[in-house]
Amino acid sequence: VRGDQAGGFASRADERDSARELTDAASLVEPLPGVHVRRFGGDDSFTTMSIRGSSSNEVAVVLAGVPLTGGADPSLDLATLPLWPGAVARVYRSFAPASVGPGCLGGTLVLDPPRPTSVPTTDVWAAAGSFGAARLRVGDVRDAGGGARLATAVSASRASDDFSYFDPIASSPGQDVYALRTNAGHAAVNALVSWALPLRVIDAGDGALTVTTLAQARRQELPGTVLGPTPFARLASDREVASAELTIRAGSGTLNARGWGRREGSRLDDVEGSAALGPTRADEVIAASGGSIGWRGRVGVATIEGRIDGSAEQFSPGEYVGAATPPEAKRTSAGAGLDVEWRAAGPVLVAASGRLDGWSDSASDGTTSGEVRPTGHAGFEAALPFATLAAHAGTTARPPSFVERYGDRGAFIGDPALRPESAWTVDAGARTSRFVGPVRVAAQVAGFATWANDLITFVPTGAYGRAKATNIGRARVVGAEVDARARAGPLELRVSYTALATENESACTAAVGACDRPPLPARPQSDVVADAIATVGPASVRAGVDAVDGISADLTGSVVVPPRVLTSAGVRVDVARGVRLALDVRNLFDVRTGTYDGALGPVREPIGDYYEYPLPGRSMLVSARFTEPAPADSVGRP
Amino acid sequence: MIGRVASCCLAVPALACGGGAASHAAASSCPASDALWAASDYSSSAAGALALAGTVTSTTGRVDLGADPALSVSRNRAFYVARDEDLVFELDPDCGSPTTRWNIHQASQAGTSDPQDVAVASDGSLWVPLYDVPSLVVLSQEGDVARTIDLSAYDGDGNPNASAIAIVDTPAGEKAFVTLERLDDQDGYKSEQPSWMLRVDVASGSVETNVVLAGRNPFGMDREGDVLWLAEPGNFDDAAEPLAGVERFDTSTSTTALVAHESDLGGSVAEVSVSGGCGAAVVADATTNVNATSLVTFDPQAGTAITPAASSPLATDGFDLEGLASVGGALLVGDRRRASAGYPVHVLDAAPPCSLTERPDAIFLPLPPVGVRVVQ
Repeated sequence: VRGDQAGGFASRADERDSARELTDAASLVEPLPGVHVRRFGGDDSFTTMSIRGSSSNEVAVVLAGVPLTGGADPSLDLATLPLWPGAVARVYRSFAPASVGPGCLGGTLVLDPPRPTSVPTTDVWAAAGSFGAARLRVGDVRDAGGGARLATAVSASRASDDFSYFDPIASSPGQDVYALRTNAGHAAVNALVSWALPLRVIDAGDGALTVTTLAQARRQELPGTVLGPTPFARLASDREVASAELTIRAGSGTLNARGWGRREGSRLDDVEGSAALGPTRADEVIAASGGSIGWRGRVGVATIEGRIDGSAEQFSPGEYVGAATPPEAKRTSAGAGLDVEWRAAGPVLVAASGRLDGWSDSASDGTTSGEVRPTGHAGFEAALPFATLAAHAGTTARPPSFVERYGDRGAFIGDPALRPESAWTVDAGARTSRFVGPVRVAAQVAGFATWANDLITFVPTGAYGRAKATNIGRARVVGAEVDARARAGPLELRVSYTALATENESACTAAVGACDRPPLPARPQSDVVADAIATVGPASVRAGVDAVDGISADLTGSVVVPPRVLTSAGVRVDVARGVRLALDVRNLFDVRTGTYDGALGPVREPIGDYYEYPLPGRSMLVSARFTEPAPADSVGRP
Repeated sequence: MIGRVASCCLAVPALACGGGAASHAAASSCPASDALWAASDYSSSAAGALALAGTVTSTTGRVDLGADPALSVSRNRAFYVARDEDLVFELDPDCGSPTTRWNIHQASQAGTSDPQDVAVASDGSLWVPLYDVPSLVVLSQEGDVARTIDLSAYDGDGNPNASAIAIVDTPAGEKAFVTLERLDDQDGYKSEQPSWMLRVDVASGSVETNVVLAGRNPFGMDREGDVLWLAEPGNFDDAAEPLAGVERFDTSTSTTALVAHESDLGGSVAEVSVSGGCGAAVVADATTNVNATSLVTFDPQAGTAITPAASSPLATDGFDLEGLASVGGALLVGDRRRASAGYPVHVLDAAPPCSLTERPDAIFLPLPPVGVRVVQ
């Protein structure tokens, strides 16, 4: 609940500030207001993110300044995001600054690795836990001589995630059957190097060149669903990212130029007759590059940042066996954005952002399409004695993905004439930070409403039920967010709550008569993440709760996922200067089933947003962390 | 007239009394109905009953109804098959509400076994063909697995894709007739070899013979006395295949013939219903990923098309017509396009020999229909 939010509500999560032991990047952003993380299994399984009720393919993800989402992969698997000591995640809940890039319909996640310009630190975190989990994260920031700074980070993890789950098709009334989730493991390694080099430019001034490179390799087992397991499906993937950012003083501001490149390769292997009904082998490569140049500074009473950017992306299918090869596709985009912020009156800060983006898509079958679309938003923040108020309104958009435009020549049929999804959003809120008696309270409350049009929905067509992308979707989302922290002496409470009311205006409930609009599927009406922490000397204990309810499992809103309340607990002890040991227990009471309405009465199914993808029961993680220099609150710190 | 929803079956059905493989609900009372229906948007499903007067009862929002249902009628009993959940529900013949549940899952199968159809033998046992497991499962009256008949030998890939079953009293005794699509499980379930009809002796459970069908890919089956009418689309992307159309299988002699060809009817046959001297079918055109459906009629004796797709009294722009049944001189045709009051079941009056006139008032369901069946 910090920083000015005249441009839009944003949340921030710092790896070093987490109340819980973090297993992956998804667990870093999970406690943030407005965010719902949907896991399709244990840690490191396919994981998506929804912000304020958006679809996962409507969330833009930026890593170290490089966009990871694009036409080829609009729905990023959060499990593939690396996490290092000192990593920071920012979530722009609806409106992102124009300078971040084109943004997206459903918010933006920006994940920043350790910065070479931050305080010199060495951090090592290692953990082992249930289901064969082993994790290592190392981060180091240091002087490299001559004023240069160097940040390096390495992380690695593996797990088998072979937890047992309630098997709904093997169980009968009075006879529970628990099965072992197989082929659900992973192994991954990530490495990052970032240099910051000071520059002195003649006739300009001081500046810096920052170069960041990232490499990832991952082997992911794909277990399929409970009803259609895929015991032999595996995905091997790699990702390479490089960026260079030049910043120099220019006039009353700063000139910034950035270039980046990204390559992602993947290879899917499965067997003939697999329940996935897909290829037995599929090789794909996504290559993208881009750049931008912008200037930020003061012009009169206003602070402005103007930026022009452009990118090119190519999806290249390689060898395909057992299925038709999807078409090769390319996207070229260019845009210009302007962020303006000025103090209109004493306590009132006004901000406005606008972008003009153009896309040009083409496929190997000769199909081309393109669009130019403006987006923008405006807002204000007023610092009043009792609280700071903020409100924003604007429009966002998302261009169709390649599979939506061109299909995959298999189960999905594309439509080159699809229009971009678009939405209008308004939000308003207040934040405060003050003492209430002995209790220090920091809180933010916000409400929002979104009207989305031209949503792209896959509609079954033809005798074989292949899904065709169609611009028929319309939706309305209204919600509220609360993000609060309270601290009194050794006690601290953190609460994040999101309430959602959604309406799918392109569907009807399962009822005869006039059409009543059902909720959007897979969005919780309530989503709470809370932690209570007590610190005694070098030790702290934590009790947490994660609760969701009101998730519709189907398109008509007639099957509702039972409310899910999972508790967790943790202990951290500083055993020596800069050395911390921790134990985290998740799903403390080993909740593994939920009770649904069945045709003849209540029936049990595994817990999960979709019961076909069960979540694990109780799990433990033991970790050790070494930090040099030791943090200020570490035991033995002089 | 807009369909009315009777309130008797909208509440949560009576609680199950567990134990054994079957679960039961207390009997409920409903006004008399003319047909039962199953509906699904493939994310959730519903079942119920309808009367030609427009009354509809329904059970919706139950997770175990699954997302891929089928409807079966045999020996005056009706069954809802939740194919993706490995469950079979017996339906109240008046309300269409589930009364008993059986789990058909085969422990040898990691995922769903995919039950397809149900037939009732004279001893009350239930015969269930499985699609993803090469087996025909027989449940006793008590719901226990009485017999599992291995079908793996009837296809080179080890699974003959059993898709439908009927149990008929023939001159040679009580026999179960099982359609085997015999698709290529390793290559996108393509139809690349002849389909078969398996004849199984009900008393002994032994497979007596397999009859090579004249048409390919038996997609639907309708029984009229001793005759099984098979809807055989072959490949939906081709509406002029010589081995596709409506096939007539005589259970008394185990002989079979392709009666009406798809090229004469004007499309690949997805469903068939024969009543008296009138045959009706839902056919789909060959436009890839569209497969526009039409209601056609044909002479079941001569096989000639009476009303081909080109002059259909009911046609849609996509693959929308699903659910076809004859009841009391009327023809019921399900339509998956939502109208203002719900998803319509069209009612067409059939005048001899085979003239169809659609009534102005349809019957409306809460979800897109996938099956309509009549309990005699």
